[in-house]
Amino acid sequence: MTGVVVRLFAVASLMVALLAAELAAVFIFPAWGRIGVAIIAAAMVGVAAFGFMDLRREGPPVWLLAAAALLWLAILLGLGSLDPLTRTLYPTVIAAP
Amino acid sequence: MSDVATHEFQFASAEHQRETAISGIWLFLASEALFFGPIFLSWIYARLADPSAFDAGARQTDLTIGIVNTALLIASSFAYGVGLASIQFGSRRRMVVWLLFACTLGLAFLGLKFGVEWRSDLEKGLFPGANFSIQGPTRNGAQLFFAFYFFSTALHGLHLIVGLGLVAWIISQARQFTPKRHTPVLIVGLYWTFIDIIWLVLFPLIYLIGRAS
Repeated sequence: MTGVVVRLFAVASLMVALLAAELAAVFIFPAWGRIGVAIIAAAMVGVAAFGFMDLRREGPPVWLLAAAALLWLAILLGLGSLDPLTRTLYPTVIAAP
Repeated sequence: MSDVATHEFQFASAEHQRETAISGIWLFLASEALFFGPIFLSWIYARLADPSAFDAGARQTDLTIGIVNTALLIASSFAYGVGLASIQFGSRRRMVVWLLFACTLGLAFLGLKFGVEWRSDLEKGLFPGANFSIQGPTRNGAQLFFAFYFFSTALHGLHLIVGLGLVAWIISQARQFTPKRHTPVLIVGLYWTFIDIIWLVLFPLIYLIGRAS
C-alpha cells in the first residue's frame, strides 16, 4: 500500500512540476512560448494516462483503443486544421455608402 | 460479504469479465476524446482567424484560478488513486475517506470555476453578445475566444458533475467492494482521471497560449 501511495504521490508531484514548467515556458522562457506549452501539456496527458490510469498494466485491447483514440484525434485535428493553416485571407475593401 | 471473484454467465472467468469492463470504459473514453476533438478544432479555427484578437480575449481570463483548479484536479486524481489502492489492499473505510476527499476537491473546482470565475467574467461583461465589454478591433476575436471558453468549460463542468455522481454512487455501494471485487471502483477512476486529462488540454488553450509570446 505504501509503495502505491508513494508512486501516486510521485506522479502527482511530477504533474505539478510540469504545471510549473508550463508557466515558466510562458513567463520566464518566452523563447519556448507556445511550442513549449504544447509539448509540456502533451507530457502531462501522458503522465496522467500512465501514472493514474495505469495504462502500462493493461492488455492489448486497451492499448488498441487508446492508440485508436489518438489516431482518430490526429486525423480530426490534422485534416481539420489544413484549411485554416493553408488558406490565404485577403482583406476586403468595403466601399463607403 | 465473502471475497470471492464471481462472474456473470456470459464470461469465462472473473478476469474475463474484468478485462471486458475495462476495455468497455476505454472504448467509451476513446469516443469521449472524439467528442472533445471538434471543440479543440474550433479553438484552432477561431484562433487562426484572428490570432491577436483571440489572444487579447484569452488574456482577460483569471490565470490564478486556472492554476489552482489544475492543481485541484491533479490532487483529486491522486486522492482517487489512493482510494482505489485502499480497496485493493482491503481497507474499505480508507477507500471511502479518500473518495470523499476526491469529491471535495472536485466540488472545490466547480465552486471556483462557476461560483467565482464565471461570476466575475459575467460581471465584467465577457459573455459574447451585444453587451460584450471589449471594444475596438479585438472585439470579434475576443468574442470568439469567450464563446469557446464558456462552451468548453461548461461541457467539462458537466462531465465533472457526472463524475461526482459516479464517485458518490461508488461511496454509497462501498460495502459491496472487496480486494477481489472492485472493478466499478477502477472504472469510475478511469473516467475521473479522464476528466482531469481533458482539463490538462483545456488549461493551456484557455489560459496560457494567449499569454505566450
